[in-house]
Amino acid sequence: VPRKPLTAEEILARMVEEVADDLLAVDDVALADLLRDSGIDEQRLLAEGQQSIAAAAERADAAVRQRVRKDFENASTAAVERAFRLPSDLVKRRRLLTDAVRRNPGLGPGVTLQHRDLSELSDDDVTKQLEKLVELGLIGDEGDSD
Amino acid sequence: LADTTRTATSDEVRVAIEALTPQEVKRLALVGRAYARSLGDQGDDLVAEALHRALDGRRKWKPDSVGFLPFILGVMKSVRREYFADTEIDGDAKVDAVSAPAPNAERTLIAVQTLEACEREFADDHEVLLLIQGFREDKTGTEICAELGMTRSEFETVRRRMTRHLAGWKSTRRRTGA
Repeated sequence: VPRKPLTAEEILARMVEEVADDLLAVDDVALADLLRDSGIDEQRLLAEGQQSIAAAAERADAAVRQRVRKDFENASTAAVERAFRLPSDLVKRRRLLTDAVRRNPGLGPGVTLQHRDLSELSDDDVTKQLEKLVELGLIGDEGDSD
Repeated sequence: LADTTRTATSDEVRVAIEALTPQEVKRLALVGRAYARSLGDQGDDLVAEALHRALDGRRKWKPDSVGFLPFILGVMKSVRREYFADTEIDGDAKVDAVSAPAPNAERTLIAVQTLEACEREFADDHEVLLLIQGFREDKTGTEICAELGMTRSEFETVRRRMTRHLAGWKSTRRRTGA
């Protein structure tokens, strides 16, 4: 039964696969002859291969870094969610912040409470400050305050 | 006894890459060039992509079953196929004519042009053209030998001429000014 002729792409694929098989099979001496006969600059070829290796390592490292960052973010979010959920009532939130500031007079970096009079803070600011305190682990033991 | 099903860790892949000799790196780069040119120089760095997939475990190397270089060449083969089809193929899946994804139309045209340019370059080498004709008819090396009355060694000599030419293959797109 005659086989269906291959497409141009399939023929090219077959050709380069034959080339790959051939290049894998030749010994180092034959490879050197082949490179010389083909007029290929060996040092340039070597540099090209090394560049590909470096690019692969860089891609792999970048992917690992990204995965670690993502895992850390997920773990942080999960920890915050596990630790504490802010009360939905705005008055309770304000009271919570007031209590936290009273308990922690030397709040660390990341929490900006220039206005010691917390009544001057907007509701949004109160929420933001509370979220920072939760992130810092300064609130959380109380559980859900709702 | 070696466990032929054991998969290398990312560290083992790194060690294998670091252990590549300069001659092996050249072989890899040469195959990368041939593959890229067979795609009309449109593809990504197939060597880097194949190594990356081995490093991140998307392609699993079984060190007790296959050498690192043949393994990477196999990955390059499937990456090339994917590029042509515009889709990622499951690394461990066997791809045949039935399961292969449909090709991308633009790349099909590039393949036709690239093959034509390639055949023009072999216009003076009748035997290589016969070899390509055998590939076109999806014939195995043994069948081509039988049909052309070649010994295996003669077949390999012709194939070597094709390799030598394709290894030094200049970009067809630049040559034709396309």
